[in-house]
Amino acid sequence: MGASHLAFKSLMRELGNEPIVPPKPSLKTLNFGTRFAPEFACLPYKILLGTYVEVLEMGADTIAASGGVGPCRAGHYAQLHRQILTDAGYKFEMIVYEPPSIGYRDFVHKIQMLNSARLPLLKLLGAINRGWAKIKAFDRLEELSHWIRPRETGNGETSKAYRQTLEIIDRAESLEEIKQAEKEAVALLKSVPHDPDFKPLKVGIVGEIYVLLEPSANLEIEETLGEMGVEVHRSMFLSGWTRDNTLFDTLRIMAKGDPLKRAAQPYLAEMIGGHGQDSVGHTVLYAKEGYDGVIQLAPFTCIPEIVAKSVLPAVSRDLNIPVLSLSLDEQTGKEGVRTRLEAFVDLLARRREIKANTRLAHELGGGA
Amino acid sequence: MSSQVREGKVGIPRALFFYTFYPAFRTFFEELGATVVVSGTTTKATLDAGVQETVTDACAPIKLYHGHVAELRGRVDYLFVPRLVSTNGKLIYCPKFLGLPDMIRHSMAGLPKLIDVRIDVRKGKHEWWRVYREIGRNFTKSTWKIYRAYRKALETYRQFDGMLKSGATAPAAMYTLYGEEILPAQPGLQAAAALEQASASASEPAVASGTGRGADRRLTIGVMGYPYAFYDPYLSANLLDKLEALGVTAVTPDMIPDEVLERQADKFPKELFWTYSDRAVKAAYHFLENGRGRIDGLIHLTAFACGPDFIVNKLIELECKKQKVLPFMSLMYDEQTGEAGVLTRLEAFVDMVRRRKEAAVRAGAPLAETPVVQSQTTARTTAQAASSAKKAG
Repeated sequence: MGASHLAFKSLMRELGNEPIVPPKPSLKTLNFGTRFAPEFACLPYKILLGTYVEVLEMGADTIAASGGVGPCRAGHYAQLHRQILTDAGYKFEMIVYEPPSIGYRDFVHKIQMLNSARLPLLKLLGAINRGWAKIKAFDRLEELSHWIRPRETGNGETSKAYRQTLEIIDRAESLEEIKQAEKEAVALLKSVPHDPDFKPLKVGIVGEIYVLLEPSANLEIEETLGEMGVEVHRSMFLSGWTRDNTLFDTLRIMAKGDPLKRAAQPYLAEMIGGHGQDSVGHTVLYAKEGYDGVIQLAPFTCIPEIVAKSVLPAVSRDLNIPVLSLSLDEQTGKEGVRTRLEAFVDLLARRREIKANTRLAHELGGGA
Repeated sequence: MSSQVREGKVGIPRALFFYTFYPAFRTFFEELGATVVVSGTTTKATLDAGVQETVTDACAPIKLYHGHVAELRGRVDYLFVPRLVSTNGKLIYCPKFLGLPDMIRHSMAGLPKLIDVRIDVRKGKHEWWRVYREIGRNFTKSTWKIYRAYRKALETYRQFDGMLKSGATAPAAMYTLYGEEILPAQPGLQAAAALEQASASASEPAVASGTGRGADRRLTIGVMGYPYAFYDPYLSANLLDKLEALGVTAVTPDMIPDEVLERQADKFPKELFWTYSDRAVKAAYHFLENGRGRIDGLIHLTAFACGPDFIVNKLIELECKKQKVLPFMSLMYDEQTGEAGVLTRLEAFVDMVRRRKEAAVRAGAPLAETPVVQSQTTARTTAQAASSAKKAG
């Protein structure tokens, strides 16, 4: 997802495996995916399946995938992917990582399965730590690019610089180097000519994690919006999610419920799996923080997001914030999405203008 | 202390878990002095009303539920819309069930008071009592009264479930319990009449196959899917009645005892999370393992864009392909499904199953192990698959 594969690539290499880096999900990936996947599988399922086919064709013999405990369907994807690919005649091994909360032993054992170099525990943790540091660096850069892009003075400069920063981080190896590379990359991004005083429209992006994090699945929505002069804030980053759902999850929730759940409570009182409740909670929070609008990204047929989509109109009405829901599948075209985004952004700009005018009129009226 | 009962009409929509839990809750509410109002059998108008209240991506059963709620709105004091999380202590329900009260509350206006109790018995079977007590509090303060109603409800549930396990369909069982108040006519009766008529007037199927008729020619087909679909005459386009008219006895997952289904559990690297889906898949596996000679084919009834079903359907299809013992067809429905289209496909499938069985009987051998997997595709899917195959190639 996003740039995270670069971090996993270096981790796998350190563990003594030869990582096969899948090409960026493309039309070909989707074609493979839709050929083997059931029709109503969601977009992430099809992209993943297509990606597996691509790496298997490139000679991979092991696939590492994540599991899950539901109620979202994704918890079953790895197992079904394996069955479908086996049925299609591919030979490979699949290691499915279930969350450590169901069984630490199983989790550790499966990590050892990928530890081909038989690194001792301390070194193993070091390697994982470095991978983690890279993921955090990628996330930080991406967040920064969201801030710079709407303010850039030259068209497309930010995106160009951003792609360069990924390479800089990718080359770094030790923790020290990663730190250094991050500094360098941040400086590079900041050097993109931009106007810091520009006040762009602010849009929060919520939705299902895969389409949120993988630019090729959401048709580079952040870039598109950024280049329209909109500052986007994405509700989720991989570094945030992985931590929330593994190590500290249980502890933190035991301590006291998280603010996101509390925000969603009046609209969606149940953890319905995937990111349905998060989508609602984030929308509420964005509204309270004064964002101009919210965009919900959901793969077609995604169950939790359908539930979220059903209650979002109520949130939008109560908190007076425009919400645009986009349903993505293999047939979605970039230009179609752009048209809808333009209309949405126009609406937001107009709302802001009206608000400013009323305020002005009010002030003038008050002064007289 | 007052044990006085507050009068009230409680509406129960005839959709989703209706075909599993209605009798129990009806008894409970009535014991507490409330009147239970059920929405009518589904019509096009019911579904249309639901479509207006829901987002387009929702599946037909969810839209239909909204339609039934719309019908009850304004006619009742309470609306029973529980949040079904877990009823067997282990598995949960589809996320749409989990978010159902929220969807209803935030997308429909003019609703009566919702009884949206959260049903989750994963902490233990005593949780059922907690659930009933919470519901009962709406009607009486007397815990004793609630407890008595709760025992009665359990009794009804057992009685109803016993009828299902002995092979009755849920509508038939309800007809036995409540008569015409719940259904305009006994299910199967019209079908039987239709069958009689069919075999009396048109004898060509019998001629074509050249073998006996009537009881000898009866087939048994396992109908996989969800009770709210295969029992709903509108959603399923009268699937069960049509099968009956074609001389087929349908066996559904809710007729199979839990312990029998559980024997299939170790065949899954990971059991499905969702109660109804888990039953459907295990029932299919059970038929494939033990159905030889007793079950003649499998049909999977699935909703357009049903979330869990793409997994359920694929698992059944792959297993059928592997076992090569039973013909399999999946049948997809949505808001626009037409009776004629379903009938054509059913007739074709049943004819195929029947010829296959008769050929085997003539040969005097066990059924030939031919792989008869017929993966259902709509016209749209076929075109799509063809185009993506072309692009990929």
